Amino acid sequence: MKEIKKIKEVQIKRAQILDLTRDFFKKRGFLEVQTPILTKDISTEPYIDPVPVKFFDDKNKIYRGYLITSPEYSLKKLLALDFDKIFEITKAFRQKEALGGLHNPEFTILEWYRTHADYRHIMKDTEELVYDLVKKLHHHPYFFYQRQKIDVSLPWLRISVKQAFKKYARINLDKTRNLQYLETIIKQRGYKNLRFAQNLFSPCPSGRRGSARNRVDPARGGADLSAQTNWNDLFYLIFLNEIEPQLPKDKAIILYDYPLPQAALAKRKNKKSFYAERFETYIGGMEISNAFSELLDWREQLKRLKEDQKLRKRLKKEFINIDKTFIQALKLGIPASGGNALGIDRLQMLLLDIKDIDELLPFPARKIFN
Amino acid sequence: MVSTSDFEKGMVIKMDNDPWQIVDFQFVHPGKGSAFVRMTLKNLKTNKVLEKSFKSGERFEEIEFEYKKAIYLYKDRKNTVFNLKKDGQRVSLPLENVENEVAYLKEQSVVDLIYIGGELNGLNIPKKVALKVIEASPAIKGDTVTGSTKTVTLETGLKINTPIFIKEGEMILVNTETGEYAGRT
Repeated sequence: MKEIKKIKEVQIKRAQILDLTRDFFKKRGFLEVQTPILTKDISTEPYIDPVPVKFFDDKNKIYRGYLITSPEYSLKKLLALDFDKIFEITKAFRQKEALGGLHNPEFTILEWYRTHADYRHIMKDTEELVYDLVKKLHHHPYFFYQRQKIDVSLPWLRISVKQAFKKYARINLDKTRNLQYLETIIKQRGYKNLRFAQNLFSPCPSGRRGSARNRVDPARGGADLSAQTNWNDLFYLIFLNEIEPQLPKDKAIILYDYPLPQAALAKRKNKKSFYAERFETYIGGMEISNAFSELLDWREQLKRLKEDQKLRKRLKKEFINIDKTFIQALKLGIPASGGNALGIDRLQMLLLDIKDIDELLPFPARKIFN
Repeated sequence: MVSTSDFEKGMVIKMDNDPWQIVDFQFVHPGKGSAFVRMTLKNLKTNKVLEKSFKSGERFEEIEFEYKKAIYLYKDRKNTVFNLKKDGQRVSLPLENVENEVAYLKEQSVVDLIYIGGELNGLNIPKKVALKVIEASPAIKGDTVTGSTKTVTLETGLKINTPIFIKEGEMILVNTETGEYAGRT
């Protein structure tokens, strides 16, 4: 009985959070839209694995598609149709991820987009949304998660990825534009001794500084794919071991301006910059959202999607077609825009002090399938 | 060799020649790079706890690890002697390795002996144990300052600080991690 009561309490609170989220966006003039969960073409992102689906019509004709990994493409297609402020709360699906903990193959995602805006406007939306939810649910600008007090007072601490690397890992991220520099640091820090990075060192011949071999700059063309994959892995090795654990846990923070290999759909800061306008939100050390100043140049976007396909091939992953209607939408022209994808389940876990997503969902996948 | 996908809580892996027990682990999927596994590891030699992230798929040498229930019999100047519950086999650990733990053990109490790679390596005792006070000076009349303490002797010979109201013959709880008084039973 106690268990049933708890499940019910959690579901009531989850609904309340959804209602408050909708109120927040509607009051600010956003239109709630509904886009397909079942689609033909899907994001080519190399490190996200979609769930393929096939189905038949009345004449037994077969159709093949996917469950969306995020509604991003559809929402951007709407921006091309003159929608200016839109949001959607929908289900998204990803596989080859853990069942339980912070992941469930089916999850609830909130995405919103603003035209005539960039990621700075989206930062403001994000902190105001969370502040609003915390104030309404907890009656203070703070709450407790796993006994940790978390303050979400405005404005949130903003720290660039470059500053974070400097402050917490004493690394000049600018210099990592050359992969060898990053590899040297990894070796120096003894990661290899601790068996951390054994598989990471590809037999990449020692290239000269700035040679194509070590180029990790996708937008410049001719970027070396193995250099890019290694760069991303080494980036995370440092990020997860040295930076994330040191990020303040007692407040919400915005980590912004990611290096190019980490920002596939984001707009580059300027033509020559190593950084793109992407930010992530961390609350109590948990990552809850990922946002961009949207990349709207169709040629640049198409080039990056083709790079994704090559990388997928290299990673021995399924081939995914490029969504031509998405490129067409970009060709139609979208005004400068910003958008965010926020994991609703994680936000609910934080606000309701729940450690495992399986305690949030009434029917978690781990229980359904095992 | 085990891969990150074989991980289970309690498993012991070898890293830098030390046995590290997996206390907790969680897969992290950044979405913009390979998956990682974030682990809380405890060094079974030093008890040091670390949080580390490894790339998913990384391989480690597994070390066989098990607990065996045993009864504590006695200690002499060099050794502590136990009787395995399962087969009555008599085993011993050098006293110097387990001095801290043995200070809380009454004869005939049940403990978990730790076997790493098939060899007896140490013992686990409960976080809190109940022990009898065998010697305590009476509370001094008028000494009512809160927080004042006195030293008492417990049945294992261990001396600890308790509040002044604790009397000889009472059973008290002791936190075995901090060595501090943890309340009356």
